[in-house]
Amino acid sequence: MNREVIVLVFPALAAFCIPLGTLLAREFGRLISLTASLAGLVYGLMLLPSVMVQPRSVVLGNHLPPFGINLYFSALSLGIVLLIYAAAALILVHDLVTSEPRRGQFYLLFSLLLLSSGAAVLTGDLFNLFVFLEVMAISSYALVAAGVSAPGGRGALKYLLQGQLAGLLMLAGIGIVYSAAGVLNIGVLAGSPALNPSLACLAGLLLLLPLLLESKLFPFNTWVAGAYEDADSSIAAALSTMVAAAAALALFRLVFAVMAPGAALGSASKPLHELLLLLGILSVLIGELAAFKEHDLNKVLGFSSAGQLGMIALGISAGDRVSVRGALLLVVSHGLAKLLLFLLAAYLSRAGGSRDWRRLRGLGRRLPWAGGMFALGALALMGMPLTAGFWGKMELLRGLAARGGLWLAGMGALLLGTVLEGVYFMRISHALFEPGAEWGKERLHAAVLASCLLLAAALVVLGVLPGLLGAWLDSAVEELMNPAGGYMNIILSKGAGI
Amino acid sequence: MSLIIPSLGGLLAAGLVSLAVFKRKGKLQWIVFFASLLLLAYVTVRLYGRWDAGETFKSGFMVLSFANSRLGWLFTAFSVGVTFLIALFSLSYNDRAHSTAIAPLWILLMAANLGIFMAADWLTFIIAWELMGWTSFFIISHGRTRSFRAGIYYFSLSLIGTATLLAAVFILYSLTGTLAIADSLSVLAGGWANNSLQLYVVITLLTVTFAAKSAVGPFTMWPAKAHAEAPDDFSAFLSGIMIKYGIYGLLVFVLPLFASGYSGPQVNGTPLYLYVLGWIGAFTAVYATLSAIRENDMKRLMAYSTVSHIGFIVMALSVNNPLGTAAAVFHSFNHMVFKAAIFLSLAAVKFRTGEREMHRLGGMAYRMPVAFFAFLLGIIAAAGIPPMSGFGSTCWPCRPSWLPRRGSCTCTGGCTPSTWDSSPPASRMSGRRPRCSRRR
Repeated sequence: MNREVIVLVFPALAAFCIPLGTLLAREFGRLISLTASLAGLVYGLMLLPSVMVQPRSVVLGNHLPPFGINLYFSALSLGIVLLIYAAAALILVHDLVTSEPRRGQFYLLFSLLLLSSGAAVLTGDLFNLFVFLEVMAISSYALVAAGVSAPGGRGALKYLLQGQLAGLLMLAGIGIVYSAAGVLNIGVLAGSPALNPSLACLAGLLLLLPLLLESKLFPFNTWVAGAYEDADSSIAAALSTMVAAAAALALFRLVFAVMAPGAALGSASKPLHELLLLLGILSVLIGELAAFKEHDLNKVLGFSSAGQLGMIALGISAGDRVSVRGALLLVVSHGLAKLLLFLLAAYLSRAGGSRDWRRLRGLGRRLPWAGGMFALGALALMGMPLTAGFWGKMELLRGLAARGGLWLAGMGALLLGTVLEGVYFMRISHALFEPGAEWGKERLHAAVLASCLLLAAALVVLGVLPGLLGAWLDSAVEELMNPAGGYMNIILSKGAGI
Repeated sequence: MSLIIPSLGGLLAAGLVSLAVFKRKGKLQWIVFFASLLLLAYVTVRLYGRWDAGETFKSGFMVLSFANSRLGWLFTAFSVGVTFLIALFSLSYNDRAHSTAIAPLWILLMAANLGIFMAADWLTFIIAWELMGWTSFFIISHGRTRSFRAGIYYFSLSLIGTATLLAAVFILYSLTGTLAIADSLSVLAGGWANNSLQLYVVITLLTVTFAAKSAVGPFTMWPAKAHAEAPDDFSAFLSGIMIKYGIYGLLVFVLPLFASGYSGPQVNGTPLYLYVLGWIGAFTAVYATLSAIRENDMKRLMAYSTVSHIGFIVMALSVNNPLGTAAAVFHSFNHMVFKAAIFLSLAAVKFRTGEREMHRLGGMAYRMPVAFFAFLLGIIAAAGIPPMSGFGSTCWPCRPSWLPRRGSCTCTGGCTPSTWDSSPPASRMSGRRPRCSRRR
């Protein structure tokens, strides 16, 4: 029995029910989607202990891999899915208590976004990955456009055009891989004979494009400014936590399974790693510089995500255990910290009537908890000690330095990026506490306060006791670095017939 | 029995809890601050004699280790002792009108202080160093737009310093394969014959970190901004103690690399690198003194004076012999004591008058004789005039650099002017109140 799949069934079911349910009650959409994300979270947490011990490949529709589609449940994939569900739940709680109910379609799209980002992490098939990335992209275009009050939404349109182009190119890449290797299952491709190097390079690049776009790496992040400006803060939060985490994980999966030496695209391994290094360096520097000069909180946080994802790309490109561990830690800490910052930014900008941080001077004095936690989230992103971000950055630096050569440039970029990040985040955090306009009687809503406190506590606890993540990290790193050991075996043992 | 880890945990908990719980204007946070210094003083006393007792804290892949070295203990003892006195001052200074609500962050800073001096591995040192960086930034800025400009300037330099520290540490790690400070340094120091280039890279990166923190050479600008704009009682800590972190770093992490295994180029028996560093120190001393003379703002003036003393200390330690090192350490401690005295008496004056411009403070010596007396003793020590401790420590650095020809620098160049800079505030404060300001 495939009871693991139920994790994904909750949001799918919610999405199906919403159109009808909204006819009955206006609140139906937001409540059912919140319930679905919470149910998925709880169910996933119940699965986690057994999956930590023994990863599982779940075959859908009884068609065995490589022809059928399988979902791979491991500590790594389920862990990230849980992160995504938790983020969705917190975003929906925030939406529930701070805004009027939106139209049903909004929650339908949000549930689809949740479903597709979870599935993109779990899937073991390239074409399936493409489908879920498309669903994810289409729902996020619509959600971004939904935040724009006036008709227009140039940012959303820009995002749509770039995203669709990247999606089509990925499809072309999938076509190339299928015609050359004959299979699309990631686990099988990880052990297939290597393709012709130039073909592998082309296919690898095409496959990575939408992931690079969703993770906002440099030449593909021109959409960030517009989309984050148009998007509502809660959607921006979803883009930069749920979507980014899913894209980062898919990037990990493709690079370490399909493009590792010895896999189908293994002959392209070196150039693709170097490309990732270059893109990582550029997006750290350019993302942080762009965030440095922005004043719109959404855009600042969006570009800072570009920088952080650039750091994660640096870790992937170095490709040794230490860097990968650092990059995975960064995925987690960035998810938590960015969500905290976006929720607070949404709250502060609503209370202050503007998303321009210069107009929010003194709001932190009125809402000391909000201001304080904003500073904490910023420190976590900067990788300051006693917060979760510190360990990711340390491990990443250690890995990059040990790798040496070109990767020292990556280390330099990371350090420089951190300096820039520090300056602009401290500028904002401090502005919140400067004497400024007299604010009214704003209060932080109890539910928002509770969810922010939860995130802040997670950041601090992981910062002081990173060992709590130790077992998870070890098994995740092992899974990525040694696909032949676990990943491939488990997938292929189900499809032993072929 | 472990002492360092529990007290660090206690300080962190006290800091975080008081950050979360106490009201901005309340007195309670200062009482907790004072109590944590009492705890620290107790721990420091208990640590005496337990040399090189290691302690480790483990959580998964994270291992933090601490050791009680003699030099580290000495720095801890002096910093805790002086801060204890500052805390006593702060307790009454921070009334409702003057409270800056920085006590919780200061408690965290004291944890970082202990961590910096007791770290046995690089990771611990980095954690303490970064903790010190951001807590001190928030303290200096303390929610004022004007202070923020100084604070962010300081913080940018501090971040650059941290970045070079991280780069140095991880290059060091990839060269030596260990994060333990003593081991990695001894492995590295053995590499002069083979890979001196990498050694120079590491040393330069570390020097930038410590020079940025101690305002040596190109970084002389930040104290004049940050020390002046920081909360008044914190300026004493900033100028007396925090600026010594860089000196400690140079003494413990950079000097050992030029020990007996050194085989690079030398000038008059001093390694070329240290020779250059010594000159940088000398220029820092002269430049800062000249800048101090121009100042009319008493906190800025004292900040420049601090920089000149730091230049002086760097000059002494770059001589690289026992006498020079001893002089550097001695002067560091002296400077901690007298600079804290000076800044606290200035804070007392500002507490009463709200004024920092010296020309408006003529005649204060008659109104606040006790504060003036403390101030006077402080600047006599700073000027290195005989009955005070400063005399000894100002003379000492001159000896190693003159005596056996190997020392080199123009010590006098830095030494003499550093005695000038303190006189203007004394004379102005004891003088009559100028006529023009009385009319106002």
